[in-house]
Amino acid sequence: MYLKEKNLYATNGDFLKKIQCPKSASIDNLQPKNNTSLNCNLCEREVLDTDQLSENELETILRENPDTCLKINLLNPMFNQYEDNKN
Amino acid sequence: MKIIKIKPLFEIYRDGKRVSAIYEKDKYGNKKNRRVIKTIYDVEGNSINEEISKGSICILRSKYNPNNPPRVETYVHPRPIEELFSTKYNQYPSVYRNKETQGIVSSDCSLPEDEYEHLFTHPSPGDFYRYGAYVLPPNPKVGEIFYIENMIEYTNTSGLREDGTHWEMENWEHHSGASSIYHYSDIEARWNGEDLEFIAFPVFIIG
Repeated sequence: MYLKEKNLYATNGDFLKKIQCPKSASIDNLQPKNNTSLNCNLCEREVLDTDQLSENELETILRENPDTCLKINLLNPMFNQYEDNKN
Repeated sequence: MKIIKIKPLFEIYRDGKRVSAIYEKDKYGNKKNRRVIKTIYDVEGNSINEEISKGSICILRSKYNPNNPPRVETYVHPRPIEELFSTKYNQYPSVYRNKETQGIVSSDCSLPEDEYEHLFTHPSPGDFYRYGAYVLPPNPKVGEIFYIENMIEYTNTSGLREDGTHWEMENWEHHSGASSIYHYSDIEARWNGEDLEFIAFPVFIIG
């Protein structure tokens, strides 16, 4: 699984979803709901804490419902990231 | 384009599920050409005292392991460090399984074989030391931002953004059952005249 310009892709290159909140939610808007999800106080939607999911679990969830809201920790090794290499 | 890899430094598994981990991010780099803070590790404190004798400001930090709360000890100098208890371990950090309770523990030193099964030992030489010290460049100004190329401590608590606001990186209690500690290899830090305040790079995205 990898992130490229806020787009999340499966390891095989399939586009899964764009990580972009229309309400610009931040970590301060999230309250823990249970071990794997959080409540967002901006729109009352559930946000999945991807730190608590395996790569297979997350991919399955997103293929079934790409509109699922996610909290992604950029330091989570599950998400390979790309950045411009200016060197 | 280059890929940014997150390296697991130290992981603890229970019943096949990861319950705790320390991750290290690839270096962010000194993109703003800050003055560089040197990091030194030694066992007896001699290298640190040598820097202090030259008039350098040294800030002593300790690492901590995932089963213990953060321990940060800061000394602002000039004054020599005496009775610095830093031990170079042959095995650090190591992870063991209690043979009776099956509980997983991490330890700085060897545990008795009749009670504990040794699972693995982290191989990184940099982790052999409990302590390290940051050496500030000459004449640091209060408010000056430096680049730390080799960060000593693991961090999971909070940081300071460049605009001066604080963020919480992880809720330790929330993650007590499946905690993760993230280790920046390098970081920027602001000198406040007494201590270094880390300036964290962006961590979370929501959407």
